[in-house]
Amino acid sequence: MVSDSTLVRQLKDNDTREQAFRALVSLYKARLYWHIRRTVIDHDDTDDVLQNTFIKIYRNIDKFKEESSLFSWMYRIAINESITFLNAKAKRKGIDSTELQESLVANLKADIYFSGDEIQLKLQQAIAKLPEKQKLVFNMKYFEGITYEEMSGILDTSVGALKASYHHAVKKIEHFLTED
Amino acid sequence: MNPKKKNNQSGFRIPEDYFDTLEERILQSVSASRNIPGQDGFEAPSGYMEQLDDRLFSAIREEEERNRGSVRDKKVPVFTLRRVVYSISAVAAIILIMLAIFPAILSPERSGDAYSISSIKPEEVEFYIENHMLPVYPENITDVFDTTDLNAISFSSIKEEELINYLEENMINYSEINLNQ
Repeated sequence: MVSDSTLVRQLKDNDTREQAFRALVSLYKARLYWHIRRTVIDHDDTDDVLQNTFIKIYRNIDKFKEESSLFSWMYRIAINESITFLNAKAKRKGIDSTELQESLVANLKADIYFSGDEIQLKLQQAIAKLPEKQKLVFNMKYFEGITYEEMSGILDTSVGALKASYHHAVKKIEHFLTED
Repeated sequence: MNPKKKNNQSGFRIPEDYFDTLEERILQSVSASRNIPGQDGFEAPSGYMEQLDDRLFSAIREEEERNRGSVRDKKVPVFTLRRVVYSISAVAAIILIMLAIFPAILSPERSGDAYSISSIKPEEVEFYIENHMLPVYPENITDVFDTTDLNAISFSSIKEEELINYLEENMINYSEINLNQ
């Protein structure tokens, strides 16, 4: 497999840019798709945000200073694009971001690309109620298996603070799932 | 059994501190998954990932074509009053944004050593704006400063408190997510 530094060098070179970008998309599309999907919920919205993310990566690769890993940098762009998208969508609808996410989750029952059962639906309801940071940390840790160290690089937050966020998120979700 | 010794005999190696953190990781995983389902139920349409690469490249090419077209269209610049107003407003907005990002500039007592306007890299401001962390919309600016009043505006007379209030209401706060690394 091509190393990050080689890939970045190829991406910054006009002669190899397109081929390297194809390799980059192939390597990371699934991970970024699922992260964005868990944030914006709807598949078509995810597709838009994912494309915007990769286009932004393509356009801004020259500005990437390699002070973090390529994946961390891409992930940050994906997170930012997702949050920006949700905020814009909420603003268009005249509601806040939490209300929007609760309404998106409420529509999941009718979503042909959601096959979850009652408990999985309730899990999404619980996640939608979390504060933004806890939601992000929970999804990245629980579903995406990102280590605290990697997450610390992506979110520019200490490992201790991330552990605390995750702990609080798990407790709130467990409480929500087991009440009644 | 000493696991490290066993590893050495077989020729396999493990990451440093692997066994020291294994217990915590397993307990955390077991604890979290006791009541929480392991799958989220989301699906992607069949063939979506396979077709994504080509769709993405089509989108990039279309955008590049559009950009080339818009550059061609700009051969003869037309300076309208509205464009001049937008330009002035944009410069004013960027100054406000820079003040918001680097509040030390507003406090002379704190601005001595570590911060100064010259220490802000243009690409940092550009990156914030490009990533929509500080949206700048000409129509919003002209809502505040209409054309008839523009010549009379002295930006240095804007009070710090008013400036902060405006930015707090209009700025998206992603300060915890540092994108420019």
